[in-house]
Amino acid sequence: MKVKITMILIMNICFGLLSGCWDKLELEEQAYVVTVGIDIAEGDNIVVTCQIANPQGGSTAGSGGNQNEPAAEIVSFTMRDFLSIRDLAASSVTRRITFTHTKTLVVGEDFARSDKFYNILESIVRDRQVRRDTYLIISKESAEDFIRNNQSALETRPHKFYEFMSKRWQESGLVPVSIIRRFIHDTESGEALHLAIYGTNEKTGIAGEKDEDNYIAGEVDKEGGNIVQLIGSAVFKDGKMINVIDGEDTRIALLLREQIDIDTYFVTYKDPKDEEYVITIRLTKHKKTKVDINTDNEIPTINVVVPLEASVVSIPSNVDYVTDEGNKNFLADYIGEELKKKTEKFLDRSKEEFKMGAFDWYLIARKQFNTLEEYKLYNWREKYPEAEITVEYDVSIKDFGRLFQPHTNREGSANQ
Amino acid sequence: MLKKQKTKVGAREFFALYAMTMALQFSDQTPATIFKDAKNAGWMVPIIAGILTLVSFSFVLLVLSKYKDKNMIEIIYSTFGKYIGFILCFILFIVAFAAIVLNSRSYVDITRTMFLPKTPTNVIYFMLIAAAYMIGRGGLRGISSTAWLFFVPMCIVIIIMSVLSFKDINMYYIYPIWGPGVKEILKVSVRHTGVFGELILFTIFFSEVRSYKCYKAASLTGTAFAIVVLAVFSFIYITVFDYVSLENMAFPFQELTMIVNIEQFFTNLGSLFFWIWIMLSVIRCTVLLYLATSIFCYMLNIKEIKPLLPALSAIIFILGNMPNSSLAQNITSKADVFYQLTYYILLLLPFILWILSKIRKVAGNES
Repeated sequence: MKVKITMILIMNICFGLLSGCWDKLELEEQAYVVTVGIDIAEGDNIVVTCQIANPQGGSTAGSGGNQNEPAAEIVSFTMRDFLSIRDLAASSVTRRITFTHTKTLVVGEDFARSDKFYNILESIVRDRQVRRDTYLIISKESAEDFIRNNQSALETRPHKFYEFMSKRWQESGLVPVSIIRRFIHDTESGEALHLAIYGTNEKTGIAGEKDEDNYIAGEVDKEGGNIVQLIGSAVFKDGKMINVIDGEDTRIALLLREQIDIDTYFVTYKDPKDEEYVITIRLTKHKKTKVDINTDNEIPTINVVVPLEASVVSIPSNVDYVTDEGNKNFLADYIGEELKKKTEKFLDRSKEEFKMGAFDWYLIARKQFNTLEEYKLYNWREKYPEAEITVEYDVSIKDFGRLFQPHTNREGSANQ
Repeated sequence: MLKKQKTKVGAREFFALYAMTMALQFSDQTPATIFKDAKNAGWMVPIIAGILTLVSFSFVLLVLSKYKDKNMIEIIYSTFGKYIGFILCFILFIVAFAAIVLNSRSYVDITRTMFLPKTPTNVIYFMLIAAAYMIGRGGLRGISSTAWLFFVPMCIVIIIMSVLSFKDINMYYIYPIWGPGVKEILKVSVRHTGVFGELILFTIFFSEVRSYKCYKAASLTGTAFAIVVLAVFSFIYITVFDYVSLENMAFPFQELTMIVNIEQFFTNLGSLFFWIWIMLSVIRCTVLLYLATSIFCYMLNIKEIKPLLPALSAIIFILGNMPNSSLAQNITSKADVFYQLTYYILLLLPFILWILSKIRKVAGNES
């Protein structure tokens, strides 16, 4: 009995003393890095920027926070390797740098285009704290500038900005939802381009007319609000950035993927019956894209059918697309043709310029083989640029908004 | 009689013991060793290896059905005689002993790499072995009751993880369906029969289980459970990460806990799974420790098992802490040697045992 009691006592004391021992964390002593930026520096060095969330700042009054404090502290260090920032940061940051809540990794374009980028990224993933579903943003200017200038009035809390933005990306498809895990997978497979989010805070502006989606970051003509723009994607091949594509091409790339990566988005077209006006259409990819790949021959053939549901939201030209069956089908075909033209242009670019696809088709090709050996022998990477690709858009018009007919139709003066 | 019944282990507890020790391997480095060779067909390996082990185990069942009150070691001694019997038992002991050293070290490595980077390895190791020893003192009945107690949390973890990872699954990753080729898959499966080694090794506890029927039911259902869990999780790892990324991943389970989330509200679930996982691994270590000690005792005909537990724990602690028992070696050289050693024994021993017992019987009848 006595032995038992002593044992229990000793054990209880042990529990108290040994809990967490070397790795105990005081919540207050943690500096939670929300955004990490990496840039190239002179020599072998890199510049690492950390946006550290301040749990006290920016909270609503009454919840114990201090509204006068800034919501985040941004520090940049120049060093050889990414993870040693934990120690170097101790030279100025009072708390311990923690990456467990890092949502976003911003990489300067100069660094993304260098050979060193992929190696550094791998070393980041090796660390136990960094999550593989961290978003990857490529900034036109240095990542440090990007993070420092990203001041959203709506989201004072820095982590919320990216959290909410990621949901908008998913909806609009103007940027790909790019996470580190996917980047590494695309690169390691050696068969796919990776599309990463492209952003900037430098407004360049552009001459000439633009549709609603063929911008790349910086070209969007807007006033006021946060100066950061995220649109278009940075194209990576074998872990190295090679080019930039605009929002329109990004949407096409996402549509060509089998899975539904894009919810629903707005597009405008010149009204086919009255070129003076534009019509606005909301497109929804309601089903999976049908991709048929035939690898029986030396040159693979790829047949793609993209199903789209269109809702016509505005018809300023007053053409009756609603009740006239002929006009309706004409419009559906017209949208399909327009999309097809743009897609073919982009596919040519991917075959000739990038020499690789970004549509996960290699996975579908993989399915055609029985063993990995056979698939490797077929050499999809070499075959893709020669592949015969046909793309069809299967557009069906679903609805016309809240009005049956153009307004003027009721007065009997509608066109056609 | 009633008193004797009480000291024996029931079917339910024994099932938990089987299910837990074998199934928990989905969360350690076992899948990583499988994917290294079987690539994207790795999910088939647990199924084939499990069936192979079950086939060889059915011979054990045939033998056991004849000896109602004897455990495996006694059967080996009576079939093979004193000297060969001893050698065989010693090999079994080495297998069980290597299993506990390698596995405990693997758990320590995972804990250290993923969760407690600053804590010295030997401290984590000490805690693990000490906890295993504490539970082991309760004897087989105590261990299996503890296993049953934690069986439900394990099921909860398994179900939550499979449901949460559902949205990250990409079915295309399992193609080409035969991965590195049928021949290679079979080869890898044979090499990984050691994953289900406990099935054969646990026959040591045969005399401690209430009845032959209990034993048969518990072992078969427990193995079936483990096969399903291991196959499902290998499948999830492949379809979430694809083999190209998996080949580089040391701890797929922990990586998976880091990417699953419940909407945007609960994102860092990794540490939540950690504390359940660490308790489960303590139990697995306990079982393996007790197994090795039991074989040792039965082999040398020592009646009391408990007094030897601290000695073996200490040896395991020292061996596991040897400078070379590092993570990379665990996956490569050592594990290979270990698996090679085990699969010969585990696949062939039951068969030989069965044939010999037949011959004995025939010879006995003739004389």
